Amino acid sequence: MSDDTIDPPVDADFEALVGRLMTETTAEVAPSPELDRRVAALSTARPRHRRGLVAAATLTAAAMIGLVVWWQQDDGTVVTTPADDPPSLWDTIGTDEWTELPLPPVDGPIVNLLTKATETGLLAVVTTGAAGWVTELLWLGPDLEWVTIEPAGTTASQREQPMWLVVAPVAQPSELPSNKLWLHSGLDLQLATIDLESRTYTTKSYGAAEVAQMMGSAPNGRDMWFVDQHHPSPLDDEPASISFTAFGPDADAIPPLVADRVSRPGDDDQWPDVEQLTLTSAAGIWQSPHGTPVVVTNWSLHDRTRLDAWKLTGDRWTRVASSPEWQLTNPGYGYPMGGLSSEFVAMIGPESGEPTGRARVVSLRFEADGRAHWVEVPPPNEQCPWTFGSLLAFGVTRAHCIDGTEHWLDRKTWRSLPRQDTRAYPTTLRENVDESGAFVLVDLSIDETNPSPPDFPVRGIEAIRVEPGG
Amino acid sequence: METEAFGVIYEAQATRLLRIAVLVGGERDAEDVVAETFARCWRRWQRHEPDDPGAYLRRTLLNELARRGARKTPVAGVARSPGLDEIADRLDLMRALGELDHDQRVVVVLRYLDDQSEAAVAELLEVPVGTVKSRASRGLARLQQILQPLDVTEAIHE
Repeated sequence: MSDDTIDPPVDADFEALVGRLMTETTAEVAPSPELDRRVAALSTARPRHRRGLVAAATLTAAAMIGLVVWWQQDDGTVVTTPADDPPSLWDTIGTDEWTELPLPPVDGPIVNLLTKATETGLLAVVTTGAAGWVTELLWLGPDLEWVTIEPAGTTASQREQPMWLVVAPVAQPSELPSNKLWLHSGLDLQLATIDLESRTYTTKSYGAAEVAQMMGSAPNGRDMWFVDQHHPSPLDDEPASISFTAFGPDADAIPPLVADRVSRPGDDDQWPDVEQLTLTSAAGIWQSPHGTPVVVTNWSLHDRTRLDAWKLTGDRWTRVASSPEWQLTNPGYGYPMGGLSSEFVAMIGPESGEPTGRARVVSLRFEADGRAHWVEVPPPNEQCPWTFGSLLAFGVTRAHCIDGTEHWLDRKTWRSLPRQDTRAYPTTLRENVDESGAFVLVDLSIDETNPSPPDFPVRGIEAIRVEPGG
Repeated sequence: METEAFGVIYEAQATRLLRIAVLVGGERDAEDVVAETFARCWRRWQRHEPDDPGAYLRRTLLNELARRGARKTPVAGVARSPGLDEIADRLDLMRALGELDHDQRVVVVLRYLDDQSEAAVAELLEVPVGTVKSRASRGLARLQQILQPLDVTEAIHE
């Protein structure tokens, strides 16, 4: 046995001396007032509020770690709400209850962040603006530490190369397994599969070099649909059409929706060439209660507008419901907003920013026999008609009235939900559904004298929890 | 965890943690390390309150020191206003501690500054008690080797 494997005997006197020496050396070491202040600030910390906050907010509720995630554009700070105390109806989550979890250092300013809950944590796709928009995959586990998810099978030098050149965020289909993510690289659409055990991911390419005008979840809730509209010149004598392309493991070919195959809106001279019509199908792909895809189109001309709902049956799109032609007090636009389990809701009304003018909220409802019809939703107060600007969320419609008040409507009953405050703050709304309900975040201004963006500070988050199916 | 309870723990532990941080990692970053330690613990304790906050803080502190690369020689300069001889002795101690490898330094500081038992240190570092004994004896022997020629012992006793 060599000497260096034998522990030297401990000299008890020297042992005591070392203790005393260390004690005396550090006898005057004590926390400074600055350290006291820093630690005291931890438990009363408030998120920093900066420009770009509202536009950049995002939200994910991850049931296992109780996260509600909120992103600030300039520093990527993630804010979480308490895990054990989820918000109830219109609770205000006090800022002193938030915990900040800064992202790991990234190369350059963050230009986009997409988050997705997993069974045990949160996936984040962070895109930075330096060096060609590099994107990284990060995972926040139950220990609330960020870890990087690396591409499987790559060498260290390859990992230093830009991973994705993301040109557009991709909304994740609701039925997609939690370990999968759709990403568009600018070159193609890719489905990433994440292995949290090894902290690596693999990708499969599905083509789609060009980004569509719109893209979103396919009706099966797993694949992606790209939607493009075609507005020909009147001289071309071609119909307007909407084309669909499906991508993914279960994707099927989808026939285009051609406007005059099924008749144009109106047959008289009041509805001229399709080129002059505004055709809108944004967010209009919806899975009907009968399991068939439904697309809602909007046709507008000057002060009139009309919504049509189309159902895909076999290889044909057929019109299942056509709204009346609405006369609007200002140039009108219709916005199909999104569907719930039993209805599809759209808002039509004056152009955004118009101070006056009545808007309409309409709902497409399917009967048990498959017939559908549009129903106009009355404003919460007849003395206070709708104005444009409402947004829809899971189970809730946010509605603005002409007097500046803001209302939240339960989509099941269309009644106003109680609000702590109904002033017309500039707000942002994000939603996410977890196993037991939905969280909706609203950022509210505290500067009542100047509530205009972009300088308004944020008072806090109002949260609503809606029961499933509500 | 309530703010008040967190404040009580800070009052009870901060000085001790700061002294450990100074001897293991040097004075320059010690306050930053301690602040980060409390920040990490505060976040985690919102979800799970620990059975032994002191041990939790120590482990977090040591992790933070290791994360910051506190394996280098600690930066001297702990003395605030003692006499010149004492300054010299304390600088000698800091330099001597810096000669130890990180693992030995951590054990020596926890055992003889923080008065932790061998078993407690073993649990904290997740190593066998025998390893703690070995690191302590080797660390002390190395310190003795460095400090005795400098007459630090006599200066302290005078």
